[in-house]
Amino acid sequence: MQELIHNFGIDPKLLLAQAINFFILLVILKKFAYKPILKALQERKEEIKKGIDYTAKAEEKLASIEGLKEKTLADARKESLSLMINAEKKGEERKEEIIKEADKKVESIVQNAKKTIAEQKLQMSKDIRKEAETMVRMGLEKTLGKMPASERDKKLIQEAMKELKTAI
Amino acid sequence: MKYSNKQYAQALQGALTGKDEKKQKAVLKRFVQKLHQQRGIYRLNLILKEYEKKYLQEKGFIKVQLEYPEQLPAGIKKEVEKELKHKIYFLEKTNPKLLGGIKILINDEILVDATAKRQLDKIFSSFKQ
Repeated sequence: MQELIHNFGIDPKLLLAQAINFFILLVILKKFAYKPILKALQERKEEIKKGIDYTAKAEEKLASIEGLKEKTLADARKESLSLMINAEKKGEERKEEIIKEADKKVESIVQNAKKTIAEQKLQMSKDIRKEAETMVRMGLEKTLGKMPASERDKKLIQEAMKELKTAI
Repeated sequence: MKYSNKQYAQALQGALTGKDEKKQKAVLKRFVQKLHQQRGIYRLNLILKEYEKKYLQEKGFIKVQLEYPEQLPAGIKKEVEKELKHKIYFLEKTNPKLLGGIKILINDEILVDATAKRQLDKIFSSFKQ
């Protein structure tokens, strides 16, 4: 055994010293290097896990937001459609109302015009009649004025006397 | 209390009867003043008409107003008297607007309108209808 160790060039003392050195190094490393590294690794691992969790949650949230967005959009579309239909309906009603009012106005204007024309016609006819009457009167007055009074009044006075008989 | 024109006329007649001309003038003056005080002066014309009517009635007259386009022809008054068979107090009025014929108003109440103007009015009003 010693020979074999010798052949391999192993010095037990040196080996022991190296073992002690290794042990000391191991203790030092374990205390000052492995623990902080492991701790850092652990922390990193947790952070990564948190990140993954956050990502999953964010994805979930995004999905729900997408759904909400879709729903909101659908609602908005529905509402806008309903508004458009209502507006169109109201517009149609207003249009009919305006047409009716316009018809009414036109009718009223026509009626007024007819009335005015009829009134003017009547007035014209009255004026013409009055003018004719005045002219005829003037003619008759002139004729009567030129007639001798006895001839002109004879019949009228006779009528008056006849009426007088029954007057009292 | 408000008196009618007839009542005023009666009162005036009562006050004037049996008085001489001087006193009658004084009565008339007082009457007019009183009427003015009572703010009834606008009625004077109607009261005097009532008075005239009553006076003529009592004297057995009727009042006849003859309205003619020009001066009244002779003989008309006699014809009227003959027809009415009454004593008549005549009033004459000239109105050229009558154009012809005669208008007779008896006691301010009865009107006989036999004028050319009325005939014309009748004709033209029938045209209007």
